[in-house]
Amino acid sequence: MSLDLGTTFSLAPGVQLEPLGDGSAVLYSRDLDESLSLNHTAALLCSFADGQHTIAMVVQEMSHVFTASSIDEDALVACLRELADRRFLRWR
Amino acid sequence: MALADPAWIVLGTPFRCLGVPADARRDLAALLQGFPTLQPPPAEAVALRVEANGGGALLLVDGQGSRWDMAESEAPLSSHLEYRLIDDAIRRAAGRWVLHAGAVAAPGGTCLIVGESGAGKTSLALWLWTSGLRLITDDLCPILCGSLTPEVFPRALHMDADYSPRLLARLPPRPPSYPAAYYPFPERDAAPLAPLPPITTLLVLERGPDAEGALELLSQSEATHQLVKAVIKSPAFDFGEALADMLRLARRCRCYRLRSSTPEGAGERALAALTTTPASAGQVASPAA
Repeated sequence: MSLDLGTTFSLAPGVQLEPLGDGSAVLYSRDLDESLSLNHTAALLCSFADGQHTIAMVVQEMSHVFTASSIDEDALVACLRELADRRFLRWR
Repeated sequence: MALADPAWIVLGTPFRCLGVPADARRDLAALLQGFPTLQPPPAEAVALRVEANGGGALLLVDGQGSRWDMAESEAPLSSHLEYRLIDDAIRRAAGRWVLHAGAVAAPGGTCLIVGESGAGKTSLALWLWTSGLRLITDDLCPILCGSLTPEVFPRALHMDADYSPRLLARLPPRPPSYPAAYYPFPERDAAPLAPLPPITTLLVLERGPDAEGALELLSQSEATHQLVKAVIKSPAFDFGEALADMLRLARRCRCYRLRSSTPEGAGERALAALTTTPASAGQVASPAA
């Protein structure tokens, strides 16, 4: 699927985000019976997977969190693509 | 008339072994001596049987009905029986997660030691035990579902690998008649004392480049991943339930990766971390310098 900055995304059905106290998180898919360990950045990214935030909005939100460095859009999109390929996320 | 062999209670299931020749019975009793027994054995005890297989050969039949021809094995019969009994007990364990993990009771709580096979879990657990901490297990750690309370698993220590001479020198002498390649689980640690302290530390053990041990703080998500990986997947295993409990465990633990090229380095580094003042459960502490 071709993506642009206006694309929105959400967690796939049956996928649950478990935030942890240190900023990391676990994604659990009931359907796949699999989990993924997410670092702080990926956890934050997944917290926007609500079908409302566009990629452009997420870039902007994350730039408010990571003020010291610019947000690498390509890396962010690559992370989302990988989650979609692994059926933890879907495009809207 | 001699009394029948007792039933050994392993992970909540009573087991009895039938048809075992006298020398193997003696060795088996030594290997299982840490587990509680029932005498006489209850009727519902799961039976492992040794049967004649023709020509003097023996056949081992476990509680699932699986069969092994002992003529094809180089290991002693007692060793096979112990292994199959423990394996069967894990399959039947109800209300417990069984983790591939060593564990010791430290002043700040129970410390779980996980890692790939060969990472040195047994060596580290024994190093910590010979440094004065209570040994909970060197290999398999039962944890009650829900409460996440660890249980002592007093299996004989299987010591057929090459261990550090410095570690071996710290162990008390092995009883002379004890089965070869094993070491008895320490009696004082097997005895039911006060309940074990809650699990507060997770060490993920890896071989590292340096002799001195190095600790690296692990994220709680990585700790969860390591804990789920360590859970033995029995037939009744439910990933979602295991994940929920391991998430709760990771949330309350200080979690570190421990790297060392030597068991001594890993042992001393872990000991220093476990015997210094612990952070409150649920907080993430910085690794000690």
